[in-house]
Amino acid sequence: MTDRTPAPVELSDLLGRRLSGGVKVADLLVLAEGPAWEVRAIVTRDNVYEAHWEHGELALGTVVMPTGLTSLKHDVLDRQVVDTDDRRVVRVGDVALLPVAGRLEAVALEVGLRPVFRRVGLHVIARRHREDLLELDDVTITESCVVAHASHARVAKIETHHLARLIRRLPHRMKHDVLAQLPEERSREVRAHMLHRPHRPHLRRFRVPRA
Amino acid sequence: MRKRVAIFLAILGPGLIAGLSDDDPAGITTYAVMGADHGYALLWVLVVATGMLVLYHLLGVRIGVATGQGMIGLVRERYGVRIGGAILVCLLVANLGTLAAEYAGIAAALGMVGIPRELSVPAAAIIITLLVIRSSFHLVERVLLALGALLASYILAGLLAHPDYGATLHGLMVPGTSGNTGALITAVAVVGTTIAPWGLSFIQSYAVDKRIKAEQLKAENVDIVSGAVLTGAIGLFVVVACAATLHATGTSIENAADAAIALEPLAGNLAGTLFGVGLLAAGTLAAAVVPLSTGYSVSEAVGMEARIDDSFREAPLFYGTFVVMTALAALIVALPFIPLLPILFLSQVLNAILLVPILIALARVGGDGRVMGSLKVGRLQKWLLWAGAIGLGITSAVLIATLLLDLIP
Repeated sequence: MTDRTPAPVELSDLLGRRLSGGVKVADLLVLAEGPAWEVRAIVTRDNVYEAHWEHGELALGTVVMPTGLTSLKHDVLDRQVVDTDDRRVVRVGDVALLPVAGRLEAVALEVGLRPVFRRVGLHVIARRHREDLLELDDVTITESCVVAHASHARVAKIETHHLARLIRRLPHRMKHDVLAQLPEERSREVRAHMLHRPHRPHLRRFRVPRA
Repeated sequence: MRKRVAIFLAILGPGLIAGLSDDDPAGITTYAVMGADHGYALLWVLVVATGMLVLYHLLGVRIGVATGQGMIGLVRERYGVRIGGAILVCLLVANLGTLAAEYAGIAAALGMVGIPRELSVPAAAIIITLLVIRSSFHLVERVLLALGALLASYILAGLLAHPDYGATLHGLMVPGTSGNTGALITAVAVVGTTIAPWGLSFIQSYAVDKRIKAEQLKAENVDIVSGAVLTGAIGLFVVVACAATLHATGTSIENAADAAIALEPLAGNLAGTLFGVGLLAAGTLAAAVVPLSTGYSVSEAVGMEARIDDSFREAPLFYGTFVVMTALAALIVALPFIPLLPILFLSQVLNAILLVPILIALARVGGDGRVMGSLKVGRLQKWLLWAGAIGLGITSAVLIATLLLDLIP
């Protein structure tokens, strides 16, 4: 019954939590695909275990050797979110998780002030701020940042030369990550534009038109 | 060639502004006291401090370019929101004290021409705030660079004091002490005033704000080295001006305004006036940079990164921090019943405490290939960074011990 009406949990609540056997949760590994990322493994100080959700608590399974999984603590939490739509940069404050049928799934990234205040223990102030969530369908985890890409239709509305300029302004590692997230043809166009029109640093102000 | 010059001029800014703002009223006071009390003997300390400034400013910009993040944002990403928050709280208090010192410098400079602090401090606070809030990035940068250029008045003041050039060269090249008491503390204070957490945080965030690219780093390095060398040169001329006049006559001073007044009969009215102009420019430049640095830090810590080009509506936290910090610092200085000295004391201690973990974090990030990619620092620079962190750790410990010992009656 618990699984049918699950209460959401936050990643920051689970990190450091002591599980049966006395081990502490150091990290959670997810399969970062689709609109909900299944938590596949629990990282402790000494081992990596299969993850289960039992009786409203995380539970350790057998020791596993995970491959192709994403670390929520290292690759997602507190990472910058680069938005190719209007380039506002925010930061992942927390990850919202939901227990579903005996397993735990990450369902959204929480940004804004609310998770920051909550994580430093200022719950009263945190509750005064609205919950600001990014759906996982809208983001891609890269090595250097979290890319929140607008839908292809919205990206398509930004003219190529504007998008090229926008991407030029990003730090060089993020630039490659963001380019890699664009549709192939679009990415080629933008790259070509970036090559043909060398950037003139800070000679003019530039605003990306809103889609 | 013309294209290269144009690119360099477009890049110019972070190194010069961050460097020259280190020559703030507290810095000028330290240099003036150093010259008055120890003559030319401790000039080599300026060479060491300038070297460290170059090293850490190069690193700050490099990290900013590689990661696209300011210092506090990076601390949060690597060490979590609690450590990031704790450092932020310390920075807020330390920066408030530093900013109050900048406004005290402005008040002292304008006090020399008879403007009372009750008038000069609020007026300066309002003008600086309006400039930053209402102007574009480029206008703010140009005004800050122009203020930095005014610091050249110290070079003129130094020349007018007819320093002993042989003793100057010897003092710069041969490490030694004056034999006077307090030489060690003065040396430590000079290094402490040159490398400050707010300056390190500012240059990294400002480089990110300016969108400096990896391919522009070479030109930016010239800006950084020029800024640091100019910072050291201005310190040098302040020291020699006071060494040639005040030290030669055995005159002691308490602050930079004292130095300006004491210089007039010894080096002429113009030297005194130039000293006062320099103090006003130094105070104004730093009074704009310190709250900007704080605004960047707060925005990064809570994950709402902002830019100077943003409007107040787009970046309320960034500008709100700027306004609140400026208003509080101006109040502290303008209202006579608020005790300035304990705030300055706390600020110095916090700056010294914060410096060590920040330098260690920067050295670790700079040498981490996963974060820096191809911009990872080389082995020699890595060793220098760690040596600098250890050296500054020792000077910070000495500074804290000295400040605390002063409390014992």
